[in-house]
Amino acid sequence: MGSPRMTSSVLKVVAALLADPAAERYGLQLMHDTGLPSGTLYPILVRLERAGWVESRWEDADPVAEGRPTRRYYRLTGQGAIEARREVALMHQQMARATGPVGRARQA
Amino acid sequence: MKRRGPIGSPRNGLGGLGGLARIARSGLGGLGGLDRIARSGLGGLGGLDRIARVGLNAAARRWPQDLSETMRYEWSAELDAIRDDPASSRPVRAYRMVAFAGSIALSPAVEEAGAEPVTWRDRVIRPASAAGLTLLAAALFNAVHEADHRAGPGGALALAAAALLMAAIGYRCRVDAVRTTVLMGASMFAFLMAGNQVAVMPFMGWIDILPAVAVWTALTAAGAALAARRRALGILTAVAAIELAAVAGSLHAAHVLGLGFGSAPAWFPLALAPGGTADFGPYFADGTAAFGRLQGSGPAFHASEILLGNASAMVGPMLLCTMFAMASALRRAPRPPLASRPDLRVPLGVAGAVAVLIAGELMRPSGDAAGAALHRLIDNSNVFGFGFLADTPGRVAVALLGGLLAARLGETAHLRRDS
Repeated sequence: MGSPRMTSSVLKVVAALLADPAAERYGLQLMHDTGLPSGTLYPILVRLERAGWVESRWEDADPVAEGRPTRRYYRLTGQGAIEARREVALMHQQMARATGPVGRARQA
Repeated sequence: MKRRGPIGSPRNGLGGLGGLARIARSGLGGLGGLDRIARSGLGGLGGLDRIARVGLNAAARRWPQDLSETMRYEWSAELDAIRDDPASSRPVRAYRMVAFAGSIALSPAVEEAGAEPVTWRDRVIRPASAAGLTLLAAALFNAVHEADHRAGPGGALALAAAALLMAAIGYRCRVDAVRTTVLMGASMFAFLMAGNQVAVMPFMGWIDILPAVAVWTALTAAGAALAARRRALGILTAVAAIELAAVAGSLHAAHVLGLGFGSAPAWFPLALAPGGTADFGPYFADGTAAFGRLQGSGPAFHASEILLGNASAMVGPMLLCTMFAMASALRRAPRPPLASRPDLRVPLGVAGAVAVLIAGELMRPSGDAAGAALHRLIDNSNVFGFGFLADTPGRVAVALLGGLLAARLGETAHLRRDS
């Protein structure tokens, strides 16, 4: 089970899930939170689940009573949250290196 | 209806993909009930709903088998949620449904577990690189024919050098040899069909090209696939591919020229040899040729010289593409990373495009010289296939492909440094 390749889209998804690691989100919510289209989001979720960073479950509802099919929820696993934080922190460090001198100059 | 329970409940852990797929296939998550539910209230968007579901179903079929039903169920549920969203107006819901289903339908499916992801970039770069390789092979073979025309025996050395160059590029490139062969086959078909714009070959219609390219593509791809496990069998299959492609592409010509098929096994090697190496078939003493698109007159000739000259335009580039495909397929374990190198993609891409434009200018006058076609067909040194360089769009397209191919080679070196 290897780590997923980190692209800007993958970072957006893990950052959205990290906003509240215990919360479960379905696909449309993640599309809204990340701004990613469905065709980009779902392959990323599958890759993250294969890597063990994300787990999913189906909504506990009766589709007949609800009048609609059940939805699938996603959330970070414990290990996924640790790995995701590390990747997001790494990205922040890289961005800080790129923008650091400008920021310090403005502060000075 | 039976209650569809939660998949991956807390009792059995949050569902892994395997569990989801099993339950989705079990009938609890079957789509019959789901579709009935989905159709029960279409919110005035029934037509759009059906179209969106067709798109999602088609997309699901492209996904790996263990995920297909699960994802179709999930997407269907989300589509329902969009359609029935009370907070959105009907036009907004319609737009979101189209965007949701369209994005999934048009995007690459997720790869099989353990495979490399396929990106949009791959979708463009792979066919463009294959087309660039095909054009490179054709250009190199034309250079070989120029060497044949000007230096005589030097042509054999030029052919060996061109073959080694294509093999070296194949060894260097990190590509799926089977997939690239199929893409090169498609490019080869397009190139040969477009190539006779200035008629220099008598037999270059679909009836000649299609059998040759189909045989070459199928057998070379099979050879590339076999080479990973059984090298000798893979190489043998690739050799058979080009031998049979030469025959398949010349059957129509042989029929028209009145040549028997007994000499067919020799067509491929003789197509690479200088004209006059072996003469057979009917003799045309008056030197008048009126075959297919070629009308001209020249020295007396044998039917074999027309057939072999025509066949060389097909099998020459195919041979060089075979060298690329098999070198790529025969490469075993990944090589160690190279020493640190700068990223040369952009300069190589620009240099490649400029080089292609210059080479195009050099080849273009030869392509225009239709009057000399019969002479060069008989001595088997005709250049073929770049008549479309006479038009600016043709030159721009070829320069773009050359630039992309060169940049891809630069990318390979860059990635090897990073690996």
